[in-house]
Amino acid sequence: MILRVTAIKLFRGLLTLLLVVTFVFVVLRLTGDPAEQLLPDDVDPLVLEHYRSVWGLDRPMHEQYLRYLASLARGDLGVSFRNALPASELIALRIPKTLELGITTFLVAVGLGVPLGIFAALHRDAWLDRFTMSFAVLGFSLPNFFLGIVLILGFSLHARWLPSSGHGTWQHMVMPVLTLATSFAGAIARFTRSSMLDVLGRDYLRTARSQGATRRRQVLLHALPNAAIPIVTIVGFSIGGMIGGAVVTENVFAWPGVGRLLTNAVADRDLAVVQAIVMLVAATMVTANLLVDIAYAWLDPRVRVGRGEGGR
Amino acid sequence: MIAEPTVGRLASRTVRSWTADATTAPADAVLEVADLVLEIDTDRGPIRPVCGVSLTVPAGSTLGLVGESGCGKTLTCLAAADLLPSNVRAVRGEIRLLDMRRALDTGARCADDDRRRLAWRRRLAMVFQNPLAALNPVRTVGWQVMEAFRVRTGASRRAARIEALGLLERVGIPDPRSRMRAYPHELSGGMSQRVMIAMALAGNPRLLIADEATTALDVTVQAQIVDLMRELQAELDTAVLFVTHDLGLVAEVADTVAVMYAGTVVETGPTRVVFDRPAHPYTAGLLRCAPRLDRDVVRLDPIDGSVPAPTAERQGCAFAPRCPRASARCTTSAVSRQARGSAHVVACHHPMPT
Repeated sequence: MILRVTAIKLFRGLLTLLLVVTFVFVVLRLTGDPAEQLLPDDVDPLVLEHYRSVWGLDRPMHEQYLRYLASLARGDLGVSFRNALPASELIALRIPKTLELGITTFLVAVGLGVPLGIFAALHRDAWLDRFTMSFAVLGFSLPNFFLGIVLILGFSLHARWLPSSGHGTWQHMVMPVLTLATSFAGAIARFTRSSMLDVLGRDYLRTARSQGATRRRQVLLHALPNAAIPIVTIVGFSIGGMIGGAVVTENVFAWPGVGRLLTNAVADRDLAVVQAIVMLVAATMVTANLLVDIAYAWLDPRVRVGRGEGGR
Repeated sequence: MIAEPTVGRLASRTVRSWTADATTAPADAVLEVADLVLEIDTDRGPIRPVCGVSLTVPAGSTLGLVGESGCGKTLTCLAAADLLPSNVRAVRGEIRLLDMRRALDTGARCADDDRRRLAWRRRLAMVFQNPLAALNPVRTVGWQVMEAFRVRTGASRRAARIEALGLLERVGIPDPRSRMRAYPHELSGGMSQRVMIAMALAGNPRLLIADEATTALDVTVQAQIVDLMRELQAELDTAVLFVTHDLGLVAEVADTVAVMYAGTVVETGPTRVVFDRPAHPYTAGLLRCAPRLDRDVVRLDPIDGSVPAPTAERQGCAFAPRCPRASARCTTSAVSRQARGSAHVVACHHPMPT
């Protein structure tokens, strides 16, 4: 039963991927001829023609599409128009750097957002709550590029504490992580607060209180496992926003990750690379959603499938 | 039902608790609430849903607290259990629970420090009206019973597991070993109330407060739960404060009864005495409008009018506007409590003739 449900979810995920790939494939080819974009304006028409036939751009679109799918099925993501390297190789080089940024951001955002949200909920309507939540809203509303530039102005140009761009030391990490994590943490804090407030008002918390459980025990053992259910959802969904934010942030701080590769590839009309990255992003989102579903079943016994009446 | 002599012994206690200067608690009263006044701020000024409640739950017996919904029964219980919601303010009053004492007349909601507060809560246990909502949906039944036991006693997991199994068995849950792993949504209402009772009994509290504990259940299940509670009460010698609006239930389970109306206790006494010879016109009215099978009554006899809003600082008797026996005096001068036979006390200017 559980296996069947998981299989259905996996199948749906693959279908989503196929749709994304198809969409990107069509849109990229409708918006202009990559051969013309890549080659100089005054190039010989014969060279243009040759270039097109080499890359298969002269074939009808459906044929190009089928060839593309066939190569995808073989695990071949195509070759970069720009430097003839396999797209997969280009991306694979960048993935660790983006993961480094992404995972650190994720940990910082969750590690900051969840405790702040709980804290605000426990001090509901006190100035501590208002103060925390004002910051959360501010963090949530600041666009990444703006916050990034402000940080560079403050910490690099003015105070000269941190390097403004590049990758390598922990100092390089501080500002990109801060930029990305701020909005993420703000969203998580707000969600945690409202979810926690909801749970704190429930009868079963009164039960815990009536038994004489300590405040700490009430929050950590009785309330949090319930409040975690909606928090996990928002965290899962935020991963999409984080990927978008990562593209911007990597560009602001010249972080050599996938996001920066994507912007360059789009500017160059490097079809294979763009397609591969979009697919990677889509796959990440699908995986994140799948993980949210799994976490859900793990956290909430009421949605656990395959569990019969009577708790067998 | 507890034997007559016990009720007789309670008599003096109950009367004493009425007096305003009850400074020494009777040795065997488990819970004593004296002159409790609770206030809630609303848009139209403060209201007093509880204004001057006094009651005593003697050790090892059951006090039935009856009254219509909104008369302040639940708030009185919550105050006794130190679970008042944050919008409710205690104006005055004193609550004694076993060896502990809390004065509520400071205006502060709870002046006690956290340790005392937890110690207070651990001395009593509550069973709530809606068992499904009162159980944590993401924790197993076993975890919750174990948790209740561990919080009250500080026992180890292993000891708590053994205790939890015993408790579940004792409250009549079939196959407790596998039920330990069940989640609340997998249980019926009656089963979840049994689990709540098991949780309440964990750690052997001396006082059990059952706030409309059977109201949300089907009638047949209700009877089972009431039987269970009576059994357990006799077996464990726990004092019970049984709150309900159901007179039939009170007659069945309570040794003494306190009748509440609009935030005050209007009559209290041994259950049989109050039911047979009610002294307060409100009690008499309540009993008249309860359907009975043993009499040929064509129509039920409702009490005219409705419960007054608890807004104004009250002069005289709250029941006066609806009372068939009211006189001019009832609306102007405060009612004093008068003893009427042993342990039977009524707050009325014109009690029913004996």
